[in-house]
Parts: sequence; C-alpha cells; structure tokens
Amino acid sequence: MNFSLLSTALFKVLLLCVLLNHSLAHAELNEKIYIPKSIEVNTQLAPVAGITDLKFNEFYKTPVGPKGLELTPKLVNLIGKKVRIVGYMAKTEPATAGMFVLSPFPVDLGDEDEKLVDDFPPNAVFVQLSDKNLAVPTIQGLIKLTGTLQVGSFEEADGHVSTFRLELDSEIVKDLKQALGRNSTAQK
Amino acid sequence: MKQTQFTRHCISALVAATFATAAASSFAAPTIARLTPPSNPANVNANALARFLTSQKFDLQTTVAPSAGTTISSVAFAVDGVVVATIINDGTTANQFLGNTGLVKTGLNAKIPAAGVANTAANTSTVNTPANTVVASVRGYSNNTPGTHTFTATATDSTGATTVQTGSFEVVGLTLNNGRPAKNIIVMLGDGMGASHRTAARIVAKGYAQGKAQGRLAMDTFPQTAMVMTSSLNSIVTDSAPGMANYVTGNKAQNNQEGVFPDDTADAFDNPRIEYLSEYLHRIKGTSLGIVTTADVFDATPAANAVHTSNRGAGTGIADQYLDDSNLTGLSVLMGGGRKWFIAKNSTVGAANPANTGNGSTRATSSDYVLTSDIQSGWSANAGAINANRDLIGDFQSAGWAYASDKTSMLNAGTPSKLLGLFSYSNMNVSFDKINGRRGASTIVNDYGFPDQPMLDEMTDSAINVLKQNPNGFVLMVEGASIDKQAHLMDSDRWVQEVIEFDRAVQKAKDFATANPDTLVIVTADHECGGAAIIGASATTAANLQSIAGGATHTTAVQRDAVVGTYDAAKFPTYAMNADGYPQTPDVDGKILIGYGSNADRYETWLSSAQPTQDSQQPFVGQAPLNTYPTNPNVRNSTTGYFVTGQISGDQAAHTASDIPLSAYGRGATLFGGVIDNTDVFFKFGQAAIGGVK
Repeated sequence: MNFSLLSTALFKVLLLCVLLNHSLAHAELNEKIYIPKSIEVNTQLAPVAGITDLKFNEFYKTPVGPKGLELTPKLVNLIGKKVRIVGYMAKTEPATAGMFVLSPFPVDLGDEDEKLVDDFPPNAVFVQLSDKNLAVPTIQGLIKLTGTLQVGSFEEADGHVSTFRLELDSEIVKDLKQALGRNSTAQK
Repeated sequence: MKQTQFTRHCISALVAATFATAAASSFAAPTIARLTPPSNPANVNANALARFLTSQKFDLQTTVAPSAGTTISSVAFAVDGVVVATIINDGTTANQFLGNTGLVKTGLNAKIPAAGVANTAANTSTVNTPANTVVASVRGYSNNTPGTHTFTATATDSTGATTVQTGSFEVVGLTLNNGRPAKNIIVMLGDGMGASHRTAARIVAKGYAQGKAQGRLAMDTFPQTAMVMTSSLNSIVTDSAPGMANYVTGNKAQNNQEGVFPDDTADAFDNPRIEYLSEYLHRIKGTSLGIVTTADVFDATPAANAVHTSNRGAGTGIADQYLDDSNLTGLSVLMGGGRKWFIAKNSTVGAANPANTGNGSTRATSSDYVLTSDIQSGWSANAGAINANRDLIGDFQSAGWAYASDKTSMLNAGTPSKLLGLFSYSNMNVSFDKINGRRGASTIVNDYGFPDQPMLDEMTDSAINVLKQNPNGFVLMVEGASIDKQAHLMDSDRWVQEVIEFDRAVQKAKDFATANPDTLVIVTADHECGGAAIIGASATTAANLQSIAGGATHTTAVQRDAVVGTYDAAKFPTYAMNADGYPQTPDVDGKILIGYGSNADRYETWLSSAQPTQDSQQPFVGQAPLNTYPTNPNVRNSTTGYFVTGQISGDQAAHTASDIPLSAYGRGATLFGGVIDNTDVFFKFGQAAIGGVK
C-alpha cells in the first residue's frame, strides 16, 4: 500500500492477484503477470492528441463550499469526452466482473461487511469494461487509463452508487484480456 | 419358551420405546439461545449485570430456536412472575409486529449463541441458526421498583413443549429529595485520553521546575477524581462505541455497538435499545442535548449519545437518526465534521444538475435505516426511511436549525435555538494543523479544502450559548476526538496538542459551571489509546535531531541510545507558549519523548511531522498535495528515522484496557471518587440530575 516506495523497477514486473474465472471471481495470489503496455506508467506521460489528461486533484473546487463538493469547470467540460486518468486500482476480493475502481490512492476494500461503508474517496472512478464477463484482478501500482468520462448517479455491479465512470477504451479491454489470457495459459 | 422369549422381546421393545419417548421429549423442547438484557454469567442473582434507573426504558428480547421438525408457537415474557407480554406465532413466515411487541422470523444472522449459555454475556460459542428460529421482543419496557428483578422468557413449541429461561436485572434506586439537583451535565470526553496523555499536555503547556508543575491544566483543577474501568460487554479492551455508551446508558455494550444490546438479527437498527441519559432526562425534565466533536459526527463517541445501532459504521442511518429522534433526545446542538453524510447522494445525471452531481455524498441505502413498528411504538421513535437522496442539511434547516459550515458562519449564527455545524467533509483537521494554518505556518487545512475550521473551545462556547437557553437544563458531550486518532497513528506531537485544545474546551465548561453552579462537569475518556507513556526527554537539541534525521545513519545507536534521555537525563523540558495558547513549536531542545505499549511498526525521529498522516476519509486524500503526506506510521519517516518494531500487527497503535482518570467539578462532583466502572457514572448522573446532592 505504500506508493512512496514504489519504484520504476516495481512497475516492470508487477505482481497480480490473478484469476480468469469469469463467473465466480476468486483471485489467486502471488502470480506474476506482465502489465499491458497500454496502461503501464513508468515515465513522464507524453500528451496524446484528442485525449485530455484529467488529474484527481482537478475533480473538485477548493476550498469546499458550505454544502457538498463542487465539480470543477474542467471536469464538467470533459463529460462525454476522452480522458486519461492516472491512479491506483482499488483492491477488491473477489473482483466484480465488468468493472473495477480507479482511486487516487491505493485503497483496499476489506470484508464484505464494510463493503458499502468504505474508504473510497469521493472521486473514485468506476471503470466500465465493454466485456461484462471480464473480472480484472488487482493490479498494483500506478496505471493510466483512457476512456470516455461520464458523470451522474450510477448503480454499479458491486452495489455501489457511483458518480464518476470511465468507459474504458476497447483497445485496453482487449489488452487486459490478452494479459490475463497469457497468464492463464502459463498456468496450464 | 417361545412365549417367554416373545414376552422378553416385548418388554425390551417397551423399554426402548419408553427411552425413545423420554429422549424425544427432552430433545423436543425449544432452546433459548439469548436472553436480553444479559445477565451475569457467574451468578444470576448475586450481581445483576444489567442495571437501570427507575423508569429508564429498555427492551426485553429472546432468541428461541425450535428443535427439528417443530416451530415456536408462543413466547411469553414475565418480570417477577408477572406476565409482561405473550407473543403468539401466527404460523406464517412473515415477521409480526403488534403494538410494542415483535416476532422476527426472517433476516436472522447465520449463527446464534450455542445452547446452555443463553444467560451469559460472554458467550462466544455459536451454532448455525436452526430453521424457524424466532427473535421475540417487548420494546420500551421499564420498571419503577428499585431492587433486583428476575425475568423469564417461556418458549412453547408446536408440540406443546416449553422451555423457561431466567435472567435478572437491577433497578437502581436514587436517593430522592437529597439536595439540589444538577440542572446541566457536561461530559468532556477526551477520546483515548489516559493519564499519560494528560501528563504530557501538562508538561508541554505548563512546564515543570524543580519537580513541580508550574501550572495546572483546567482538568487538573477539578476537585474530585476517580479511576474508571472501561471494559465493554465482550472484551477487556473496548472501542469507542461502548466506551461512550456505557457512561450514558448504565449498561455494558458490545464493541461496535451503541445504545443497544447485541441481538441475532442482521438489521443494525433493530437491536434491543437502552434509553440514553439524554433521552431519559429529556423525557423526565425536558433537557436539551448538545453533541460537539472534532471527529465526523457519525463517529462512535458522538453517536453513542443519541443513536441506537449495532453498527457504528452505518453513517447514513446514524446521521438521519440524530434528526429523526431529536424529539426523544432533545438534540439542539450537533457540531463537528462529517458533511458527507448530510448531503443528498447525487440523484440526477450529469450536467443537468451540476450542483448536485459529484458532491461527494457518502449516503447509501445500505447504511440507512428504517425501524420496525414495535420499536416505533415502544419508543415513540420516528420510523426513519431508506433514502440516500435525502438532503439532510436541508431537513435540519426545515426543522428550525441554523447551519454553520465554518468558524465564521458559526460565530455569525449568534444564539439560534438549534445549531448544526458541519465544518469538514469527514473528521476535522487536528489543532496542530488548524493552529499552524491560523499562524500562516502551514497550508494543511487548505489542502483539505476547509481553511476556516473552528477550534474545539470555540465550538464549546457556541454550543453552551445555544443550550443554556433551555430553562430545563441540558446534557452536553464535548469530544476531543483526535487525541485518540493521533495516538492510533503514534503522532505524539499532534495528540499532545489535541489534549491542549481539549483542555481549553474544558476551561470553557468549567467557567460556565462556575457561573452556573447547578452544573456538573466531568472530564473523562472512553478508554486509553496507544499505551502511551512519557518515557523521558530528548538528551539532545532539536537542531541535532534534525541533523541526525537528515543524515545517512538511522540506527538505534544514533537515534535511540544517544537521544532518549531517561531518569536524570530527561530533566525538565521547556516549551514556549504562544498567545494563541499553543506551543510555539513542539520541537524544542530536550523535548518530551513518548513511547507506546500497544504500538504498531513505526519509524521514529522524535521530531514533529510537518504533515499529518493521511486520513482516507478525506475528499482530496491521495491527490496533490495530500499525496505527499505519509500514508501510515509504518512508512512515515522511513527515510529519516529508525525502525521501532510494533508489538501488535496492523498499521496503527491500539486501545488498551488501562483504567483512565475521571475528574469532576460542580454540582454532584462529590459523587465521584475511588475506582469505578464506566457504567457507574450513569447512575451518578442520575443521582445528581434527579435525586440531587447535598
């Protein structure tokens, strides 16, 4: 959980809690898998044409107003558009098929009891996978994700009501499947 | 011969059948798996575990498991042999509620207490819940006759077999017309504040010379002192929910539970209730209740004065019940952090309503509540509703509450009849960072997005000004919440300043009680946190500590052996205090050093940490600039300090079972002394407020 200790070397070979069981997601620990290049973060990110970088500290205005948090104009302008966000994948066991959560800090969702009263930050982004059967095991370390930003009130497959969604680019979904597939083959 | 054999066989068969019948009838009786209120496992009659004031309300409840193939047809409750209620099962699978009685058949936990230990509170043995198990309740029972009472639950099954379980509770009689009553009760609750926390604050704030303290904390000046045993119903080491609730219900609660006894249903808001001090005095005397904390107001300590739940984490329901049951508690002041529970979960999509979208609400249907009708009936309680979209700030305002979002608006609110103050998204920033923000020395509070948070003494002042308008008096609980939270994080410099902030609030309460002598003030804690101890003082200068931390060698030889001065080497640390009441800097030459008995792994430099350790409840945690803050004590100072191996697992130091000191001032203070149980405090409040003191 200590991101200050994460080094470039760590990103190269990341430990994944891996599974490929689409229906009942139970992660098998301590397996190694190569993280897809398309989401790897190991250097300063170069800008990409047509895609806006959105940082987690650009979601809300500060100081906080008298009632709830308020969205920044930048974020409101990006609704429905392509964005790239860098963050940490929340660790959940078992993983929920069709989605995972991107958080500004490494967050570990504990027991099922605490599941819905948890430590998710308000700007946690619920990443939507075009393959609704795909359960992605926890990837440790920073990752970059590109997709279409949606803002609203969404009932998620894991029971959360979310505010921010990222419809993950299908190319990345394909890469994730491929990475998991490689690992699955290696297991056999 | 044949005939004889035949007869013998017949006799054997008859005997076998007789045994079988006997066995069947002994197994056929229902099992009473839990009887509430819980009774003393050691001796039912000698020492009642559950104690109540005369007319104090509580629920009677029992969990009854039928033997295989049978169902429960009725459950009767009797007190001293007189039937209180008989609940007849209608034979359906639906839960039944009639008036203040209930029979719950669905939504039970997967496990219930094992048979044969139903009378004991310390039962940890469980079995799978048998089919057709029921939980029967009588809500809002009370008894006016002082003394020990026996109560029984009689369960009858579909074969007519019955099981009777007997328990006991005590009604504590007050000495009435015993002098003048205390009109107001103020509970100053330093969360996690043990004797060491108090001593450390005194050393820093007042200084010592030639063996004598050069001044006294406000809490030191209280004339009466007691030692308090803090254990909960199920452990010698309590958490904050029972730690607070036990003071204001007179009964032992289970860890994580507040204002209730444990039960066997999944619903976190249907546990057997115990009437709080606030509810009892509001019902009898018409008092108001004030709750002031530096934590999120849904946190265990504040909630354990007004909210009945077995899940201290059920934030949506807890925040709702403050308002819903304010007619029962007299709640008129609620101040602290925790705005995230009070704003509607975004109910509309996208930019159509940006003001209400992505507002950071953590309201969720899963942590909300609705009460069963027996509870509503027995307690005159509001039903509640499952509603994540509730605009709770708006509902408070509609109910006549003024709302303050920061220090400025709190001061501008004047003296409204009711005051809601929500000064941050979750827990408020600690005094170390609030004061440094006011001094312009750091931007921590800006980083959190709440630059104008009040100090606890300022909140206490505002609260008292609102509450004192009630001619019937008030109950006020003021919590210094982050003494505990920073002790968990082993951030010594931050919790010492939390105690100093808390003591400034104590001074406000004392000043009020001096001017209004019909007021009782106690200063206490729910438990000790960290096993904190003042182990000595730095044997070197602050500059040298900085230099060591910045150097390449971080070993016990360099940072422990050469630094930690014990006995004579500790001398008398001296701190310069600013006009704002806080130390100019915690990093003085020869500063006091704190060790921890229930420590987790940490790195120690003995210097204050410029940044607080991250609080995952905050909105901007993990993103710039908060992402530069240390995530845990086990990484904080990892490049500047030496490693101290924890004695417990996990990221944080833990609560301990050590007794804590209690100080009392004002009307009824003389009731306090000796070594007492935390539940005893409730009955002293009762004597002071109802019976009076000479």
